[in-house]
Amino acid sequence: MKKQKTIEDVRTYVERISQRNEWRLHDNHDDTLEMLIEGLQANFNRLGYFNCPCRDSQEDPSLDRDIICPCRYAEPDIKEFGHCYCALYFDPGFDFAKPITMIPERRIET
Amino acid sequence: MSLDSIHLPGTIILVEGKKQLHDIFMFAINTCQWCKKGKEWLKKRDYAFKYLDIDNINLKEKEQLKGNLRTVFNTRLSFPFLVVDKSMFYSGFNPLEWEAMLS
Repeated sequence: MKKQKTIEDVRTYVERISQRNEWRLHDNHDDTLEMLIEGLQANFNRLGYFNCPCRDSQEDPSLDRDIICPCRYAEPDIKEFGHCYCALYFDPGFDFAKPITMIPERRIET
Repeated sequence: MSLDSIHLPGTIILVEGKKQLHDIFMFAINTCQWCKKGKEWLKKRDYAFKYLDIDNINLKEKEQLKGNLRTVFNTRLSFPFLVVDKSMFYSGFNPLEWEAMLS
């Protein structure tokens, strides 16, 4: 069994992903970022990988490969809508004064 | 097309509320921030509703449930998946669409 991740481990992970891709994280004005970090932590500690917290897992990394955070759809979603499906990663120019809404699911259901 | 024709495994949570005009059932993912916002949205407006966090169900029963939902409602699934009065449904958290279903 993999070593369990702490909240701080997960925070470091998403910060690193965000920096590497020149994105930014949710500004957390309403605790969304905390919810997502907790969701990723729960998924890692249950499944052994960072399954997207907003998508259901099939509990098999080969079947969930495209939705392991950062998911395969984050980049096109950020380009088109300004943020990823979960609203974790954002385009650096995103205006947080605007409402953040759920975007269409780009993943084709397996 | 009715929720009644589907076997629901796992633990269904009942949230009390004064607004009981509609039967409201949410299929949710416990880790999903949109599902959390959806639950809060209903609670804030005092709707009575039930929900089921599908990530708490064992894999076999969960996959059966998802297959049944897709078949019965003839749709792809994303969460929160809201079912109103057993037959109207909406995939995703969208306050305008939800309001229209609940009016």
